[in-house]
Amino acid sequence: MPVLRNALAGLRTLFRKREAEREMDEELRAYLEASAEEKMRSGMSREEAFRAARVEMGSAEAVKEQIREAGWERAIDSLWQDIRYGARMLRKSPGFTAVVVLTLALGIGANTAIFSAVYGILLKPLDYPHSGRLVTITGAFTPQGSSGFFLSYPEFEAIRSRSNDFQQIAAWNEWPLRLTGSGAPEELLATKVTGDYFSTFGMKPVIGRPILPSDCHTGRDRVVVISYGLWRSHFDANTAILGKAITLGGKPSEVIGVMPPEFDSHGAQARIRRVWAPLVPPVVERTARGWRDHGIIARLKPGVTLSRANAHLRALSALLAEEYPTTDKGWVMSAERLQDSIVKRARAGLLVLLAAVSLVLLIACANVSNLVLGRAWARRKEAAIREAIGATRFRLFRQFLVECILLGLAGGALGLALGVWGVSVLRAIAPPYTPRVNQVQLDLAVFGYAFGLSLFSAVLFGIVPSLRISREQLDEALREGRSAGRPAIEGRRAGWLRGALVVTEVALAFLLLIASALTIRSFRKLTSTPLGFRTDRLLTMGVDLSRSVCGHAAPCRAAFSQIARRVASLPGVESVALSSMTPMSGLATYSFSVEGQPKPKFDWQEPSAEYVEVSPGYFQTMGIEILRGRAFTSQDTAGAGPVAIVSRALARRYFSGDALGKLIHVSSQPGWATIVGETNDARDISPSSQPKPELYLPFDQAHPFKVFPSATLLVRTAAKPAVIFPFIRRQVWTVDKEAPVSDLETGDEIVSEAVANPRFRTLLLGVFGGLGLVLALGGIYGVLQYAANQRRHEIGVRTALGAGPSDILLLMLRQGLLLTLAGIAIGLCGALALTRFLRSLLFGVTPTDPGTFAGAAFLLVAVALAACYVPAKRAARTDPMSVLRNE
Amino acid sequence: MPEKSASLVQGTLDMLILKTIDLEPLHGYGIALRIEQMSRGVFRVNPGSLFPAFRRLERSGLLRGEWRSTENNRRAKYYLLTERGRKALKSETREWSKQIAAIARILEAT
Repeated sequence: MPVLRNALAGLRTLFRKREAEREMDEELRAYLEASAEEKMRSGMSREEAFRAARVEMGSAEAVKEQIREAGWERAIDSLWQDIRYGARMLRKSPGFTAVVVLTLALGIGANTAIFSAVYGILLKPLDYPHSGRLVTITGAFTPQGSSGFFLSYPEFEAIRSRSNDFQQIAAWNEWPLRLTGSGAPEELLATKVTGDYFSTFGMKPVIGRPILPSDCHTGRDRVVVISYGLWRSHFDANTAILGKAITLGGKPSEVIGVMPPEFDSHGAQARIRRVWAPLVPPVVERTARGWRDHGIIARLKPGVTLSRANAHLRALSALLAEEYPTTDKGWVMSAERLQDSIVKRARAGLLVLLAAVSLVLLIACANVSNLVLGRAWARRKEAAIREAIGATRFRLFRQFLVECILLGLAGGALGLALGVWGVSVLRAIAPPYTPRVNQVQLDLAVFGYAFGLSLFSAVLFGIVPSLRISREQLDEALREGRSAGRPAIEGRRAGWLRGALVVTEVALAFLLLIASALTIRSFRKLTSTPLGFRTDRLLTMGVDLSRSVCGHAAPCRAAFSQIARRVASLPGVESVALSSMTPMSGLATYSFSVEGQPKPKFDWQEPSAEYVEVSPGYFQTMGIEILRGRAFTSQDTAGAGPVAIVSRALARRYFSGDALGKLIHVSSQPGWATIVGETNDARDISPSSQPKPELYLPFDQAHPFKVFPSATLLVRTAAKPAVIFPFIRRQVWTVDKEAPVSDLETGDEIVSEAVANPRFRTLLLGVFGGLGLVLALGGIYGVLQYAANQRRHEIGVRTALGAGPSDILLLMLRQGLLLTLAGIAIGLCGALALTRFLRSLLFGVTPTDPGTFAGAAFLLVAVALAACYVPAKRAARTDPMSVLRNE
Repeated sequence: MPEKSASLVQGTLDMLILKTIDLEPLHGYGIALRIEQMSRGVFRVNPGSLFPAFRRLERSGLLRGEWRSTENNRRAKYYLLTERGRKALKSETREWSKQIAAIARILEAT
C-alpha cells in the first residue's frame, strides 16, 4: 500500500506540476506568516518580523528544491529534463545525428533481420503443445559413423513395447500419391502413419477425427485425413467432405478429418497439400528387420530427459543386436529433439551469419564511439559551464549518456524499419527447403531483441565518451579560450583512445572480410567443380503415368519408351532419356553382392552404391562419358540378359579398377548382371560431395513399374530448353492424357538449387563484409581527418621549418597505416582462432587459407590508404603562415 | 542562523514530528515552534529539513495534510497523524527508549 500511495502521489506531482508548485508556495508563505506573527507578538514591528522570518527560513527556492528532492518523481523529472535537453542538442547538429543514426540503423537493421531468422528457425518452439518433449528416433551404424537413418517396423515395435520413456510413439513413412477425380490430377505427399501419430504431436483435426489405432488394419485402412491446404484448394473448405470418398492412387479413400493449418507446415518442408493414411504393418516388414524406411516420432514422458531416453535406446539396441546379429549388429538407435532434427541443417550457417552481423554492429559502434568522442571534446566548454553552475559530475555523465541512448534508440527505430525490409528480403531469397522459413517474421521477441540491441549499442559506444566528459579537467576548458585562437589539443590519452577504437574497428573488419572472402572462394570452388555431366540445355521433368496405362509392367514399359521416342522426334531435341532419379534430388543407396566374393557376415558390410535405373539414351543425354565397354542399348530389355554399368569409383573400390565382364547382383534384379561398361564419376548428388560409387541398371530391366509408374524424363535440347516444354508435354499426353508432368527444371536450375544454401550464405556474408569494410573506411577517414585538424599547428611548424608537402603526406599516411596494420595484426590472431568454426561450411578452401588471408589484408590496407589520402593531402596543403599567424 | 537540527540524531526528526502532531493537528510553523519549545530551545528545525520530512512522511502514509484556516483566519496546511503514523510512533518510541537505555548503560559502565 505505501508503495502504491507513494507512486500515485509522485505521479500526481509529475503530471500536475503547476498545482504541486502552487501548494508548495502557499505552504511556505503560511509558514513565513506564522513565523512573522510569532515575532510580532514578541514585540517586533511588522517589517522587522517579516525580515527576520525570511532570514530564518533562508532561500525559499533552496527549501523548495529540498522538498522536491524528497520525492522519487524528482529523479524522473530531471531525467526528463536530460532527455529534452539531449534531443535539443541532437537537433542542433543534424549532420552528426544523421550519420550516427544511419550507421547504427545499418548495424541494428542487419542484426534484427538475421536474428529474426535465428529466432524463427532455431529458437522458437515448434507449434505443438509441449513441443520440447517431441523427439525423432533414428539409427546409425556405429562403425560407419553416419547417422539419421530410418528404422524398420520391427524396431519401431520393439521400442513401443520395451521402452518406458515415451508417452506416445508413432511410425510413419512418406509416399507420393496421386489425387484424381477432384479437379486436375495432382501429386500429393501421402504420409502413412500409425494410430498414435496425431496424439503424439498433441494435435487434433479441425473437423472430423484423426487416424486411430483401429484404422491400421487391412480392410479398415481406406480412410484418409487431409491437410487444411488441400481442403481449401480442392474441396472449398466444405465440411461436407467428411465421409466422402476421394480417389488416391486410383483407389477410393474416405475422408475422415481435416488437420488444422499449423499442421500444413509440419515436418522439414512445408507441403501444403498432403494426406495422412493409416499405416498397416505389412507382413513382410514385420520380418524384414533390415528394411529400414520408417520415421519414428515420439513424445518423452514428463520428467524423462533426452539423455536417459538415449541411454535406454542404446541398451535396447545392444539387446536387439544380440537377438538379430545379421541385421542389427552395430546398429544403434538414438533420439533427437524434433526441432533439432528439423533445423540442424540450417544451424551452422545461421550462427555464422549472426556472428557476422554482430561484427558489423560492433564496427558501427566503434565508428559511432569515435564520432561521439569528438563531440564530447567539442562540448567540454558547455560541460564546464554546467558544472560551474552546480551540475554534479554524475549529472554530466548521465546527461551525455542519455544523449547517446537517444541516438541508440533512434538508430534502433530506423534499424527496425530496415529490419522489416530485411526480413522480407531474407524470406524471398532463402534457399528452397529452408526449414521453418515461414516462421521468420518480426514478432515480439525480435522486437525486444532490436530494442535491447539499441540500448546495448548506446551504452557500448556512449560509456567511454560520457565518462571522459565527466572526468575532464573542465576548468581548463574555460580558461583555454584566452590562448588566442589556437585550438586546444586533445590530450595524449584521448588520441590513444581514438587510435584504439580504429584498431579495434580494423581488426573486426578484417575478421569479417576473411569470413566473407573464405565463403566466396569456397563458393567459387563449388560452382567451378567439374560435375562429370553437362547441365546446359538439359531439361528434366517428372512423368507420372496413370494406372489405366501402366497397369502391368509390359504396357507400362511400352508407354514410357513410346514417350521417349515421341519426344526424341521433336525438332530441337538432341537426345532423350528416362531415369529413376532426378540428378541431385537425393540418395538411393543399394547394397549388392559381387560374384566370387563371400557374402559378408553383417548386412551393413555389403558393398553398396548409388543406384539409378536409366534408359539407353541416358549417358548421351547427361553427357556422362563411357570410359570402357558400352552404354545400354535398346536390346537390354526385360527378356535379355541382365547387364549393369558402373562408375569408375565403383570399379576402383570393389573391382580394383577392372569391372568389365564381372557379375554383380542387386536385389531389384532377378539374376546376376554382367557389368558391360564403366563411366566417369559424376557428382550427381551435390557438387560438394565426393563422387560416390555409382551403379546404373537398364530402366527396362529393373524399374518396378507396379510400385512407381513414374520416371524422370531428361531431354537435351539444341537451343534454350524452356521453349520446348509445352511440346514435350503434348507428346506425353498423346500417350497418357491423365499423366501429370511436373517439377520442370533445367540442368542449370538443378545445380543452382543444389548450391542454394552456400549461395545464400555467400551472398549475405559478402554484403556484411562489404558493409564492415565501408564502415571501417569511414572510421579510418574520420580519425585521420580529426588527427589532421589536431596536428595543424605542428604541421604548420614543420612546413615552416622546411618540410615539403610529400613529407607531410607521408607523415599522415604513416599514422593511418600504422593503425591499420595494428588492426590487421589483431584481426589476424582473431581470424586464426575463429575461422575453424567455418570449416563445415567451406568447400575446397581451408579455414586458414593463406591466399585469402593475404588478399583480405591487402584489400584492407588499400582501402585504409585511400581513406587516409584525402585528409593527408589536405594536411599537406596546410599554409604555415595562416596557421602560425593565428596564434 | 543557528542550525541545531544538525545535532539531531539521524531519523529522529520524523519521530519528533509525529510526536508533536500526536497531541493535535498543527501546521508547519506550529510544528517547528512546538519542537523548539518542548526541547527548550535545543532543537530548532529549519524549513529546509522540515518540509522534506513532511513530504516523506506524507508519502509513506504516516501523516496527511489538510488545508484549514488558522486562529488568525489564514489558510495553512495542517498535518494530522494517521492510524499508521500512530502505530509507527508507538513502535519507534519503544525502540528509541530501548536504545537510550542501552546507551545509558554503556556510558555508565565506564
